[in-house]
Amino acid sequence: MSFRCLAKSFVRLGPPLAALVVFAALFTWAEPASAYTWMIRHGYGGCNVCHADPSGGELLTAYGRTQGDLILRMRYGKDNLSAQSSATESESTDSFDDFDDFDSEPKGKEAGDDDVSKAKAGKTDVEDLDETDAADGDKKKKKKKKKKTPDEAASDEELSASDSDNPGTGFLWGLIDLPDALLLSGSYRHVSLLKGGEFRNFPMQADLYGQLTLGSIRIGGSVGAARVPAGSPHARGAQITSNQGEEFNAISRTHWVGFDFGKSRQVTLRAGRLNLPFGVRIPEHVMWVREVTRTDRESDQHHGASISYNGSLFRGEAMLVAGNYQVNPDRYRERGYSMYVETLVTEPFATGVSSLMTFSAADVITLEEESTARGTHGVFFRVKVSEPVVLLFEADALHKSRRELGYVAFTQLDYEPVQGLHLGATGEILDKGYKPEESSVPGIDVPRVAGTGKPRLGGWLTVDWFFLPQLELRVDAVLRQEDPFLLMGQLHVYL
Amino acid sequence: MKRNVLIASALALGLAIPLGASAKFESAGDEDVRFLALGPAGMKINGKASDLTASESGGKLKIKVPVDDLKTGIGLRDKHLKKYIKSDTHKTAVLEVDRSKLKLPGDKKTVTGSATGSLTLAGVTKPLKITYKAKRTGSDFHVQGRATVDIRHHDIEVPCYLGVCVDPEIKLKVKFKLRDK
Repeated sequence: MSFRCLAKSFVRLGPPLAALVVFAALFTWAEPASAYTWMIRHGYGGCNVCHADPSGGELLTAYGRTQGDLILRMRYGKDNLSAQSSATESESTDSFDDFDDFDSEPKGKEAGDDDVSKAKAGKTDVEDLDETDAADGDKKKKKKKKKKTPDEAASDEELSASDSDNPGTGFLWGLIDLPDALLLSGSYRHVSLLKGGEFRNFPMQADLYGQLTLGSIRIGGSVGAARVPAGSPHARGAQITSNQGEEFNAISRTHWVGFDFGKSRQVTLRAGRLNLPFGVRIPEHVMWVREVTRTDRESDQHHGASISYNGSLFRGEAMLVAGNYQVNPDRYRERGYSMYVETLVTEPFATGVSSLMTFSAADVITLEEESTARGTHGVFFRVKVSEPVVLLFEADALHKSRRELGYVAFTQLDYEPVQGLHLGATGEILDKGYKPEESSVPGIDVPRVAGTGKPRLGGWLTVDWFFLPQLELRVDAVLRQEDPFLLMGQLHVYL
Repeated sequence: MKRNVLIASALALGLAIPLGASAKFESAGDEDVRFLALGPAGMKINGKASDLTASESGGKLKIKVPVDDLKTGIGLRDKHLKKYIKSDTHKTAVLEVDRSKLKLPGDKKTVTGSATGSLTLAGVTKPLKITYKAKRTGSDFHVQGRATVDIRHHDIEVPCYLGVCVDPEIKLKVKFKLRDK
């Protein structure tokens, strides 16, 4: 059986198999979802075209689902629908509002060398013309259409016959046709971890998402299941049942009501439990920039109200944080604000600032029973270096009661050598801020250590393969100072 | 100051008139045709066309671009675009500009200017204002042109897909080389 046939069979088997897996997963563990900020490489600077959340992540719109099929997943063999079938070799750094310098002629021209440089080299116009004519002759020869072989012609006919304007990217691989007003999806991640010689294997995420649109009003949210150890920083913040041991809990990461303004939903007002608008919305919830700033989409959402804007030149979201009402008692609830603004400087370059400031009567993570003010403020950018290479960066200052100033930063290079296969390299640095306190030896403070008072470094190498429709396989090798080497593999299915 | 302007004008005319009266323009390669469509939330569709040809007849410079092989970065989007612009029946976009309306630079000189030509797209011809920049090296003119086309003026429906529509004003940027033969 060829790989192509195997892939087709898998696609056919996929829906019931995935439904079964998700059903099983709903009674096991849980964690976060997806937002691929490197989509800027395809001209998508903003998020709400493809995602229900105006700042990106989780539930996809119908358009987003289709783009996921056309530009995200790997294509095997020839096709004429996907991104790989329509390479534009876009020189998108060229401005459409200005002329270019004649000295920066586009690369790969077929005819005519740089005449000025030839003149400098002492060539005459006559020589120049002769050479150019010869080049034009070659060009004409090159432009003659190559006659197709019978196999190629047959392949084209097959493509024409099998092409559909609507790739099967609906809910459950298109098995269920939903009304336009309703979006449904889900996400299941199964992870295998090898850390310090210990191997663990468990379902990491099992969520269902939905959104109902009634005119300008939207109602959205997620439900799922999680099982984490007592005191875990993960999942607990999102649980809606109250088991405190290692039993299962139902969780809801987000649930909100929103109102859209503008024909393209440029402005959205929302209230409910929302992802905190901050920094680069990456899916890696344990990346220090998300974990330490407490702005991941795993369970760091808070209740509150936000206003978001998605325009052609900038986007942003500002949220008044009322606290996480899925955490008790009230003294652990952080209240304040969180926001970001990002400007699309040019098509391949977006940069922004983020700020978060919260106050609580006690710290929910460190369990310090003193009033705590916590802030983090920083900058970030996303840049398409070339068609297959995108660079992400974020750096944030951290300040918190009873601690010295700290910082956290990451930079991530995403390289897509062929559609659907991403190779990533990430560097991280962290200093949460030293907390002066006496050690067990009277008169001597606890020492500064990497990550607290001293810089701590980390690095990730990633292979991310979107190998079939709505299926992703990812492997991360993570090496962090003071931590054993971690090898992590995940299978991600989204419905 | 006035004298300098007069001298410069005389020089420019002295260079331009012989060119205008001499042989005709033909394309000589180096073509690069780009278009930009804007969507919601900063969405940008960078497109590309190929095989531009330019020629001159009857005192008009005629620039032709086939529209049945436009690339937008996604194959399905290419297919949709071709349907919107009716490329099966109108395979070429043509811009015609009176040569007399164009400023031509002297050797090793660069000029910028604007002119109004007529664009035929999807079988509908409408006036189009263009801005251009040209540099001459010997008998070659390296040309860049820019324009914004409102596709509704050419009876083209505003493209929408699954609720996402693009702005009807499409930006064009064209580069090519003309040779005065």
